[in-house]
Amino acid sequence: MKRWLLTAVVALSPALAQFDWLSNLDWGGISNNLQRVGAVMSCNPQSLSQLDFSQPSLVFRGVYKVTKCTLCLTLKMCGFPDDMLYPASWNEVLQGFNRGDIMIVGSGAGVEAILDYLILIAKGGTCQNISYGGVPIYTCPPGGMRISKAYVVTDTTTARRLKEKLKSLNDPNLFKVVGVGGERDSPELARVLLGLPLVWSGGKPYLFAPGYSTPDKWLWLTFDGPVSSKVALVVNIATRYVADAARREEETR
Amino acid sequence: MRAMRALFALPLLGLALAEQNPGPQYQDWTKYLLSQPDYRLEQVLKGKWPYLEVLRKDRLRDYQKGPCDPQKDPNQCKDRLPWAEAQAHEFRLPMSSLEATREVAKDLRKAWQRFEERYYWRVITALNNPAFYLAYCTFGLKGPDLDPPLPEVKLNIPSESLDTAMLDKLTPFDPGKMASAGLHSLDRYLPIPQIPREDFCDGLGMEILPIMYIPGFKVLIQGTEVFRTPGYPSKPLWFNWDAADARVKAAMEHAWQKYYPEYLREVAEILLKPRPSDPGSFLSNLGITDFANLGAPKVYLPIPWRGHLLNGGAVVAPVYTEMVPRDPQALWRSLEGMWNTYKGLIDRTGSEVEKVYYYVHFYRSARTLYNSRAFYGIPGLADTLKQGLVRLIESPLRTLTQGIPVLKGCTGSLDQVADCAASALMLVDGAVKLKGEVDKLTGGKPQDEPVKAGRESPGLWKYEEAKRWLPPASLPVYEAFGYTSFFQAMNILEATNIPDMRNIDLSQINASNWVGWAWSQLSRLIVYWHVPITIDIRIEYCPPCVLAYPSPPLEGPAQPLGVPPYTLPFVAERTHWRWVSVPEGYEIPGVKGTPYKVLGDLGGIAPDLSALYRPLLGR
Repeated sequence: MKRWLLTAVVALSPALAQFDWLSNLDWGGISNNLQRVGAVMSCNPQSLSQLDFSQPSLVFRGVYKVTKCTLCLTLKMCGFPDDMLYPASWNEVLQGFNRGDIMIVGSGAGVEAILDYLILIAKGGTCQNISYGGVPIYTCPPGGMRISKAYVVTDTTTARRLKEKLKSLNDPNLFKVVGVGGERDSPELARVLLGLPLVWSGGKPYLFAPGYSTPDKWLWLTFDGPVSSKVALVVNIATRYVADAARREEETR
Repeated sequence: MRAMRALFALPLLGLALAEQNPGPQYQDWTKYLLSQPDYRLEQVLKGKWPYLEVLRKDRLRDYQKGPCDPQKDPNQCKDRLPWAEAQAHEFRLPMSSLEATREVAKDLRKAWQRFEERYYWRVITALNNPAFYLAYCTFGLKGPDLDPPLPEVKLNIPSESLDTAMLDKLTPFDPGKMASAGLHSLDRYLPIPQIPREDFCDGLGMEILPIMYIPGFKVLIQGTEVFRTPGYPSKPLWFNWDAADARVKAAMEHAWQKYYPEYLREVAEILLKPRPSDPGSFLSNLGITDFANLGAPKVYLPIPWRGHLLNGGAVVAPVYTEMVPRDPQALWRSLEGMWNTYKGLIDRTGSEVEKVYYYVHFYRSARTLYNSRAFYGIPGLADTLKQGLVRLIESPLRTLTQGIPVLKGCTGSLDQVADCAASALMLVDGAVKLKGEVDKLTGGKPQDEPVKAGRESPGLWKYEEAKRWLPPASLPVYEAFGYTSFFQAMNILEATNIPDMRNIDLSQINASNWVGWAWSQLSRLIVYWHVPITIDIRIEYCPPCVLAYPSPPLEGPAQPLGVPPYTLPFVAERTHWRWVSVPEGYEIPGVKGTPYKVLGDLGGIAPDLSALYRPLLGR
């Protein structure tokens, strides 16, 4: 009992320290509370029920906006920036491909379309159709880019299809594809587990929300400077583990 | 070797079917087969452990072509595996107990929770130095230890192993989630660490300088506010963003360079070390003398099928719930559960004629079960089973047979009906294959595809594939029904934040769901706590004089200031686990390469498992 009490006091002490602040918040009165609800409604919480989970990077953005707004209105925590993700231009992503390793994490048609695009770039950039989920889209990517090395981490179905496509390249080691979850197709695994679609290009992380178009017309998002450098730190370490995973391909054969 | 003989008796039929249906055929993409269980319960009494045999089909095929010496006959050896590899096509995997694998899953979860806590508390303590350093590192303020509950056993039916023909019939297909989905989180997000201070205070010292902020303030004169700094109380007057940035960065770097590899190492040790560490002496200490006291010994004997690392395969362990079931009622209930699962599936995927076979098949399997030698001497078990089974099967089966002409002659005892129905169904199967007069046999009930199909795999494929939905069970049940459940662990790369914002169950959104989720996210924001102050200027009778004083801290409470990256990013591999069932003679999902061969990156962590298990398996 004594121990439990001690734990409770310890656990509550940071909360108790906020007592004055909490008591300054307006808790009383029906009309006041209604106003508060009205205020929260201005944060557009309904948007949470309309999130498109096939585009996780936009989910991230939507959730952040509502959370930030609610925090400021109800708990008077207003010290967060307006946005964590900002639109990035395709040119920026593309220029990044010229500098250092590329890593693409994600699953499905979006990742496949990016890779199609990259293959065209690596081959010399002629105008061609690339497929986006079976829909052919005409595109003319810039030619003459030098890609040093690209890692693609994706679900096994996409991985298998990508490996087939990569056979058309002269340099078989330019792209390394890492499939997640055994040797066979497991789309459900990718959907549940792979997370945010991410492109690591020129030492900077980008999230993308693909639509039915080519990568140069997608919505690309990146973090602000200080956030970006921290995410970059983590992704940079991840590339090392992915490089190891790509090497394992030979080992397991 | 029932499974294997059947496997290679039908290559021609396989070809015939391949011509009918273009697209990838089951036999083309299968590779890792569960070949033969050898539970040898009698052998357990003699100190040997039950095991499974699995095989690599590609190697077996080359093995069956006979030896080949590339120096003598380079042409014949073209496209063939080296002979030594072809010879090593069969592997024995010892059984583990389901309870033990649940404990392993619990430890995996705990290892994750430890990493999650270390990552966050390192960053937040380093950032809020010296206040948090004093509280957590010097005084060691700490919540209860991490102690996750035993994770639930959830069966996953990976579409990767399922016959595509079955998959087509099951749209929409619900594979069930991996058992670990959504479990990479804490049980409680407390505002204090749940790990000892050594775990995140290492190499951290008290830093009083640099000055992190100049507090925001408001000035009151005689109780009336006359001035406040911009953004008061949320924002300080000045904040040392550069120092905060550097602190967070250094802490994150430390977490990723020290704590993350330690997490990977911890996971590898949890997965690859057998429990108990010396399985040989464990077995002799069990003191098993007869079937009745076999019980459910808690033992974990992992097999790295190359290993759990990303793109590496998996660590697997076939599991039993108990060696021999002891409680007749519990066994009957589980059998009923299997029946319902099985029936639901066949109702969705089978034709009218095939449904008859479902009854026959289930009856025959269950009959094998109650005739099992393992039940001798356990009172009531076989009888309970037999009575329940007859009650379940007899009248629906008899009714069904009367509706189909070819089965009308099937009368007599239940055994006779089952046998007669089985051979009649084979007749239908033959007629379908030879494009004979199927309608006459079935009385117009459509039967477009062969019941047996031209597959290399044993049994009637729909009934076999349906076994992927059957839960972990005891050894006699596995033996009678011809399947086994596996525990599998593998790493998956994920790009998300911590705590994982995807950890919300969207299937049932309700208030408590959202509140729990919101609290987990909010309580793990990266914030600097600053204290805004109130400067109260009063003219008091002291004798008359002016007093200006900042309020005590509680009066102007601490305020959080978000510091980039606000929430902790996570892009890396982490370990997931699941339980899957595999029918005898069919594909094992999620594995790669060869069992017992451990990935180079995992070298030195596990003992030589094949040597360790050899005395247990008896060879």
